[in-house]
Amino acid sequence: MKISYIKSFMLAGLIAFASSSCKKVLEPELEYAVDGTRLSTITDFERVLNGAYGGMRSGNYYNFMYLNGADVSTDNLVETSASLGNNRTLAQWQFNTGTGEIASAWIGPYSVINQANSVLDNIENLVEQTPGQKNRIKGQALAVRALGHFDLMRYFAASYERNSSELGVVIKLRSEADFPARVTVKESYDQIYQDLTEAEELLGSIDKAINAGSRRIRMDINAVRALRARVSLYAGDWQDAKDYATKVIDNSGIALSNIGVYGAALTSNAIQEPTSFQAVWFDDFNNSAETIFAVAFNVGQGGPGFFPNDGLNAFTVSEDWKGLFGSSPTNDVRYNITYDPSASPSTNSYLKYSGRYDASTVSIPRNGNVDVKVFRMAEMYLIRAEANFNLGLDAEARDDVRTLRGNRIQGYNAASDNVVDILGEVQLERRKELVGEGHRWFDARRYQLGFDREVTGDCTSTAPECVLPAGDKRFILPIPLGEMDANSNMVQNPGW
Amino acid sequence: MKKKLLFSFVFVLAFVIQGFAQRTVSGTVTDNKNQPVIGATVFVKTNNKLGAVTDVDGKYAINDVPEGAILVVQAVDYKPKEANSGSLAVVNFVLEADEIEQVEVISTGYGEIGTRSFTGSAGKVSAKEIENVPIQSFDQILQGRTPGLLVQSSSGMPGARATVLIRGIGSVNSSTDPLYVVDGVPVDPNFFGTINPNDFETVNVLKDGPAVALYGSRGANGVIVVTTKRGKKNTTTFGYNFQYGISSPDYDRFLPTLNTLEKIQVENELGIGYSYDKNGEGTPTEGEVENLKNTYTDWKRVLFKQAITVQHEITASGGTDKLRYYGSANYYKQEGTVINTGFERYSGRLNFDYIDKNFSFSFNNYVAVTNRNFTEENDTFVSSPLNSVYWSNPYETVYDPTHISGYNVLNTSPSNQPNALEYQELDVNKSTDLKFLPSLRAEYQLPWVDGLSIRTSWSVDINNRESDVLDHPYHIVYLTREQGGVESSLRKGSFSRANRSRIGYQGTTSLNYIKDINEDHSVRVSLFQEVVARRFRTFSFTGFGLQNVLLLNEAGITPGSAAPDDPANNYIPAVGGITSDNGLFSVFADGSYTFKKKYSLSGSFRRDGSSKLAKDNRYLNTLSVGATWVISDEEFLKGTKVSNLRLRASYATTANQDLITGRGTIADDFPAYGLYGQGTYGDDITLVQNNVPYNDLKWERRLKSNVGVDFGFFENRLTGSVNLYNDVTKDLFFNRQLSRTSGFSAQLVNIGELRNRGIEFELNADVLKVGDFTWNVGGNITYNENKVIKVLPDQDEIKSGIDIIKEGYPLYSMYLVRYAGVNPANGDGLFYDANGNITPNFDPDARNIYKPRIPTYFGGFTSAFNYKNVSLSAYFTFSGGHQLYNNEWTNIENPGYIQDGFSRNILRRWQEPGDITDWPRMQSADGRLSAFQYTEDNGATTRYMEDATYVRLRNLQLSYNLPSKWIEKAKLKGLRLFVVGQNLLTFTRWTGIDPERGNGTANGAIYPALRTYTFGANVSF
Repeated sequence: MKISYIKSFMLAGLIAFASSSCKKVLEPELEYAVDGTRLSTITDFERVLNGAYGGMRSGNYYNFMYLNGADVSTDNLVETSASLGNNRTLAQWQFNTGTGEIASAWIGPYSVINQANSVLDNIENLVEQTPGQKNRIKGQALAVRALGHFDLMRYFAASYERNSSELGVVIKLRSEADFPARVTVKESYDQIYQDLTEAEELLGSIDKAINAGSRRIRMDINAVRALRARVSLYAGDWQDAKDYATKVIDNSGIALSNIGVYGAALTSNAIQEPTSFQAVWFDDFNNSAETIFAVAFNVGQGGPGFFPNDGLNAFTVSEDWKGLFGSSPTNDVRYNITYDPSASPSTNSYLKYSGRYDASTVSIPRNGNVDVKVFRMAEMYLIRAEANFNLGLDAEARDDVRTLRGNRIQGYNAASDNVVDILGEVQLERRKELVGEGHRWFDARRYQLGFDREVTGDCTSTAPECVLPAGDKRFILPIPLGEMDANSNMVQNPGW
Repeated sequence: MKKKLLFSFVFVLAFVIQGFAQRTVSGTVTDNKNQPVIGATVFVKTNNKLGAVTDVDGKYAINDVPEGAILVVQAVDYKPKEANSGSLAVVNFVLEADEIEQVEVISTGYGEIGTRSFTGSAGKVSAKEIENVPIQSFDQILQGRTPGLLVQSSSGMPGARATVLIRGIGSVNSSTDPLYVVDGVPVDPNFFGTINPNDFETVNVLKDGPAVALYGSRGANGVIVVTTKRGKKNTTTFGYNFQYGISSPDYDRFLPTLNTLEKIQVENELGIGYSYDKNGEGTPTEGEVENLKNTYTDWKRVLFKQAITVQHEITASGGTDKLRYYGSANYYKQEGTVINTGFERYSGRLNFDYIDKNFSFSFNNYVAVTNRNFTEENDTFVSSPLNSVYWSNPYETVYDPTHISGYNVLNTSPSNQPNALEYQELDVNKSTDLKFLPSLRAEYQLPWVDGLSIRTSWSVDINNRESDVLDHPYHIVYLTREQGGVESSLRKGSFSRANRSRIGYQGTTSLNYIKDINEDHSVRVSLFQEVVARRFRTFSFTGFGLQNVLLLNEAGITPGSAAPDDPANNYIPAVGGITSDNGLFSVFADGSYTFKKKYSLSGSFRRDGSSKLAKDNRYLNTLSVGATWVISDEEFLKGTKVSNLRLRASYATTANQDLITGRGTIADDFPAYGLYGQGTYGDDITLVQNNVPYNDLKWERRLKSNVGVDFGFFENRLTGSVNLYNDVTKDLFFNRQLSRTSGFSAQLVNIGELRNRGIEFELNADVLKVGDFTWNVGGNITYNENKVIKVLPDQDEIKSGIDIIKEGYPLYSMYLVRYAGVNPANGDGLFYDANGNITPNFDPDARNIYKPRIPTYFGGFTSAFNYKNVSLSAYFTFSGGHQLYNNEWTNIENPGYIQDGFSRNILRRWQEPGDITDWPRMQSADGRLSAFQYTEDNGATTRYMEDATYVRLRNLQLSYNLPSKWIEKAKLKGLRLFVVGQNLLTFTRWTGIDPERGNGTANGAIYPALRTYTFGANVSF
C-alpha cells in the first residue's frame, strides 16, 4: 500500500515535531511582566523606587486613609448624601478589627515600605556610573521607609511618647515575608530617627537634583527634614522639631504661599498668581510655592477626592469647621479654597482636592485630579510655633502664627492680633489650614481632645453615636483581624 | 433502546430484485422484546441480490424466492439468523441482541475501554437523558445525573456556567474544575455555553483509577469526556428539532420589601426618610406626601419579565462503508427573565470518519457564534440593577418623560441608586464568542504485526470573546444641571471593548497494541507522547466622551488631551492587554490484561513537565493500578437472580497545576516568579512588585482510591452501584496568609493536606412492566466528607472572614459569632461569648465553627412512566448539609440604609420593652439609628446564617411519539412532541431567592434560576 507508507511517514513526522517542541512548550517567555531577580541597573532602581512613591497613591495610603481618611472621623468633616454609605463605619466610629478601612490603613504603608526595602536590599550591588547615584536612591528609600513607619505609628502605636515602652509598630528592614512582632514605641522612633539621619546625610551628596522641576514629588533633603520636624513634634522633642522646621523654612528655598495681590477670593486671577495659596490647590506646576513633598496624581490616575469621585463629594466640611472662621469667613483664603457655600453639600461643596482648574470657569466642574500635598510650608510654621511654645519661647511662637495668618487672611492686622492662648491658636490654625490633609485625627489624639458632633449639629441622621470622648480606645486603631489571624506574634492594641 | 431510536429514522430502501419469478416471501423481523427491527437486511443466502430491508414496522417482502432457499437476516447490533424458507410465504424472524456489539464502553478520551474491564468508576450520561433540556450550558445539564458529581449554578442568567465538583472540593487555591474533553480535545470551561449539547452522544464522568491517571497533571479534579454523534454506515437520517419555551421568575421567592404605605409608616415612626424630612432637607408638604402615597412601584416586576426560548436544529447523518458523517446546524436563543439579558447561539458541526483497510481518519469540526447580554450580578454594588430592585424606594416612579433619558431619576434616597430599568435598558453589557474546535485523528493498523497500531490526533480549541460595555451618557452623573443631572463625572459616558483570545492546542501520538491472544488472555498496551500548550491574549480599550447618543460605540469616542487645563483630558482612553502562555509535555503508558474475560488488571504511568512550576520541580510522575472481577460470570452465580456483579478497586495519583487566580493569566502561568509590573509615577515609570515569589512551588498532588461494586438483579431489572472513595490532596496550592507587614496579604505556597472521603450510591429499577405500561425509577446520592488534615507546619487553622480552614473540619466551615436574639428589655442584639454566656458585646474571639459552605450530600432521582407512545418523567436534584451566609438579607436590613427600600421584617422589630422578637431595635434610646454589625466583613453572626439544603424539581417532561401509521402518511419517519417544565418546584428552608449557590456565597444581586415551560418537537425523515 503505497499510500499507507506515505501516511506512516506523515505520522512519524508529527511525532518528531511533537518531540522537538518540548523545550519551547515548557519554557514560555515571560513577556508581560518583569522577573524581579533581573533588576540591577540604576534605571531599574529608580523605577522600583518610583513604585514605592506610586504605592502612596493607593486608597490604603495617601489617596484616602492617610489623607481625608484621618479627617472623616473628626470634627472637620461630615458625611453627605453622596457617600453611599462608604467609609461610614469609619466616620461614625463603628469600626472594629474586621473593618476594611482598618486593614487598609495597616497594609498601605507596609506595601510602600516593602517596595523601599526591595531597593535597600540590593542597592549595594549597584555599580555607580557617577558618584552620588547610590546616595540619591538609598537616601530616598530610607526616607520613604521612615515616612511609612511613622505614618503607621500615627494610627496604630499605643503611645506617641518618645521613650514609651508601650507597643509601637512592626519595623521592617528587609523585603521578606516573615511574621514579626511589634517593637516598643521607643524602638520604633529609634529606627525612624536612624533612617532619617542617614537619609539626610546621603541626600546631602547626590549626583543630581531629585526633583527636576518645581513639581516636588520625590523625597529630597527638604522632605526628609520636614518629616523629621513632624516626627519630633509627635515625639515631643521640641528642640529637634524646631530645628528641623527652621532648616526647612530657612534653607529649602521654598516659600510660604501667600494671599497675593488678588486677595482671598477664588478667582482665576488668584489661581494664576505664582505664589498664591490658591495656585497650590490647582496644581499649576510651574509655580509650586508651599509644597515640600507631594504624591503625584497624573491625569487619568484619579485623585484623592472623596468617593464616588469627581465632583460628588461623599464628605464635606462640618458646621463646626465652618464656625471656626467667625462672621466673615470669606476673608480667609483657606475657607474659600475648601468650601463652596453656594453648592449643595454633596456636590462640589468640598473643594480641597477637587482637582485641577478649568481655566475658563475656575469653579466646577473640576477633574478631581490633583497631587496630594504630604508636606507643605504652612505646617512647618505651625510645627515651629508649637515647638517654641513648648520650649517657653512665646514671642517666637506668636510670630509664626502671625506670619501664617498674614499670608492667609484678607486685611489681617498682625499688630492687633495678640495670640493670647498660643496653643489654642496653633490648634485652630492647624484645623483651618490642614483640614482634609490627614492631621486632625492624630492631632486630637496628641492634644487629648474628643469630638461632640451633636453640639455643632454635625451628627448625621444615620449615626449611632454622636460623641467620641477624649482618650477613647478608638483613637488607637486596632491591629486588623487579618493580621491578627495570620501572625501569631502580633499583639493587639489595648482594649480591642 | 438508543440504537433502535436511530433505526427508526432510517429510510427504507427498495431493492430491485431480479431473478426467477417463483414466489414472494414476506414477514416481520422483531427482537426478543417483540419490537420491530428496522433496517434489517433479509436476503437469500445463495444470492444476496435477492433481498430486502425491513421497514419501520420490521416488515419485509422479497419476490422470486426459490423454493427451499435459506434466508439470512442481518442487522446491526443483532446476531445474524438464518431460516429455511421451505415453501412458506411468511417467514418471521426473532433476533437476539448481539452482545459483542452491545458491549458498553467508557470513553477515556484516549480510547475506549469496555465497561466490564474498566477498573475505575465512571458515570455515564447518554444523549437521551440530556436532550430537550432547555438549558444551553451543558455543565448545568449534568446536575444530579451521576453520583459524585456536584453541579451548582450560581446564576439563572442564560449561558452562565455552573460550578462543577467531582467528589468534593479538593483544592483551595487551585482550580476545582474538572477537565473537559470533547472528542479528545480539552476545552476551556469558560466557554462552555458555546458548545451545542445536542451533538453529544455520551458523556463519561471519570472519577478515579487509571482512566483519570492517564491525564496525569490535569486529572486531579476528574475528567468529563464527551463524545459527539457520528454517522452510521448504510443509513441516512435527517432530523429537525424545535423548541419554544417561556420562562418567568418566581416572584414569590423574592425577599419581601416594604410597600409604599408601610415604608411611609416606618419612616414616620423612625423620624427619618424622604417622606418624613426629605432626608434631612425639610419636611415634605402634604401634597408631596400624598403623591408618594399614591405611587407604588414593585421594582422586581419592572426589571423582570416573561422570557422566550427558541431552538431550531437540523441534523443529518449517514455514511457508506468507507465514509461516515454527522452534521448539525443549530440556532438557540434564550432570553433571560431580567430585561435585556439573554443568550443566542449559532452553531454547526461536521464530523467525518473515513476508513480504508488499515487506515482510518476522523475529522471533527465545530463552529459557533454566541451572543450574550448580561447584567451585573452576585455583588453588592448600588449600580447593579439586581440590587436596585430591592434598594429602590417603592414610592419612586419608573419613568419621567421630562427627563432626557425618559427614566425617572431616583432621588428619594441618599444612596443615589440608579433606576434599575434605565441601566438595564440604556447600558450595554454583552459579549460575542467565536469558537472553532477542529480536530483530526489518524490511525494506522500496522500490517506486519496483528493488533499493533499507531495513532496521532491533533486539535485546536480556539476561543475568541469580544465584550462590549457601554456606560450611557444619559446617566445623571454625566448630565449637566440644565439636563437634570448632577454632572459629577466629566467622563460623559464610556465605551469599552475587550478582546480575549484563548488558543489551546494538543497533540497526542500513541503506539497501541490490542490483542486477544486466545480465549483466555487479552492484552492492551499503549505508549503515548503528548504536548499541550495554551496561549491567552487580551486587548482592551475604554474610551470616554460619548457626546453623541447616535454613536454609542468606538466611533463616538472623543479623543483625549493630556493638557492639564483641557476639559478633554478626562477623555484620555485607557488601553491594556497581556499575553501569557503555558505548556505541558508528557509521556505516558497505559495497559491492561484480562484473563478469561473475568479478571482484569490495568495500570498507567505518566511523566509530565509543566511550564508553570519552578524549574527544579517541573517534572512529576503519576501512576495508577486497578483491578476488576466479574463475579457474576463465575459458575456459582450462574442461574441465580444475580445477573451482574462486578467488583472494582483502583488507586491513582494525579496532580493539579491550574490556579484559581484565573486560568490563562500571568499570575497563573508564572506563579513561582516574583513578578514586577509596570506603572507610572509622575513623569517616570515604575516597577511594582506584584507577589511574593516562592521558588519551591511544586505540583499539588491528588491521591485517589476507590472500591466499588456494580450489580444487577432479576435480569437487570434492578441495577446499581456502590463506590467508596478516598481522595487525598497533598501539597495544596495555598495562599498562605502573610503578615501584612510584608506588604502583601498572601503568598502562594504548597502546604497542607485535604481529604474527601465518601460513598456514592446509585440504583435504577424497572419497577413495573404491565403490558404496555412501564414504570422506572432511579436515583443517586453521594455523601462526601471533606476534612482538612493539615494546615500549616506551625498552625492548625486559617481564619478568613466568615470562613475557617481548620484541621479536622471541612474546608470553608462557617466561622461566626452565635447570635442570641434580642434583649426584650432594650432591643439590643445579643451574642454568645466564648464561654457560652449571653452578652450584648460582639467579640470576634467568640466565633464558633459551623457547617461548611459546600454541600456534604447531593444527588438526583427520577421517575418515568411509559404507556405505549406516551412517557412522563420527573427528575429531581438535591444537595444539602451546608450553610451559607445570606447577604441578601443584610443588604436590606442594615439600619443605615433605612432611607432606601427596606426589608419587610422591620415591621416586627423591637419597639418597646417587653417586645419578644428576633429583630433588634432600629434606634437607640436617644433616637440614633442602631449600628449594623452583621455584614460579612464586619461582625457577622449566625443571625444571617441559613441552611441551604434544597430539593428541586429540575425537569418534568411529557412526551408523545406519534403512531407510525399517522406519520407515514406525512412521509415522516418519526415525530415526537414534548412538553418540559424546568425548575418548577423548589423545596428549601433557605429564605433567599435561590438556594443553589455555586460559589457558596450569597452576596446579593442574585439572578434566580429560570423557571421555564418548553414545548417542542423532534421530527425525523
